[in-house]
Amino acid sequence: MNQIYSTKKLDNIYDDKNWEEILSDFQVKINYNLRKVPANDRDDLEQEIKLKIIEKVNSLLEKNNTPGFWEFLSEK
Amino acid sequence: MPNKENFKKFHIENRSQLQNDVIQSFLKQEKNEQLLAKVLVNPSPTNIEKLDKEFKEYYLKLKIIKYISSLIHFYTIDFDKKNNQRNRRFMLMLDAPKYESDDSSTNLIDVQPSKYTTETDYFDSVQSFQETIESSKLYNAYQKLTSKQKKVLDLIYIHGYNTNEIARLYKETPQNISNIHKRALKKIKESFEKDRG
Repeated sequence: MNQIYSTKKLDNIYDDKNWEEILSDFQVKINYNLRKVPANDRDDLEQEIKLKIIEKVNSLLEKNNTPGFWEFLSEK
Repeated sequence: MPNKENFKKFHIENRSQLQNDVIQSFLKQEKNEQLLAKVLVNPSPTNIEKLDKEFKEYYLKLKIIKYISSLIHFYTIDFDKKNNQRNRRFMLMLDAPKYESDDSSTNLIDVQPSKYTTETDYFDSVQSFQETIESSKLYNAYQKLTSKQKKVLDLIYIHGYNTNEIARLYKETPQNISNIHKRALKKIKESFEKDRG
């Protein structure tokens, strides 16, 4: 549909990309998954997951191909 | 009333879409439902835009959460696999199995001969108290003891005998052994004090 809404405007979902907050949203899930690896590797894994999250959230926000309400309705 | 008709028309036209989980959860929030109602009552561009934007943000957030959740899940699995592979390839020498085809739990480290691998092994090989002395002060004090006193100290502190057992060994009374032990310690203590003073 229309590209009225720039990426900039959509960023406010996570205002100013407050990474602390975004990461803490997923902390529970991360902790749950950390228990699946040996204790020695947990810190490494946590760091890598967080890096990946930042990378992916950034790219998802930049893509901006989310359908709007009307678009979504007509798609189905 | 035209408003009501609009409402009906919208719901009939989009019945199947309204069953969609995303739309349903979106409209469950009162704020969004009111936005939709506003659009149906008064389909002005601003109202339409507002709803559109709200939905876009909502949907994007859902998408991100879903995406990241599975990312965390699969990344953990990947990470674990990668680590396991690395650990298998670069196994510590002594942790490898004894024979290559052998899947029993015998590792190379278990069959390595070693003179002093553990503390216990070390102390088992010590024969007398004298060997364990590191301080020269203590060594001098120890040299002043009688041979019987030395022997008793060896038996107690190196071999771990108790007074009764030593008494049986020497065919003496436990009290006597205890006295010898006490006197030996006292002598060492005195020579330390003399050294200091």
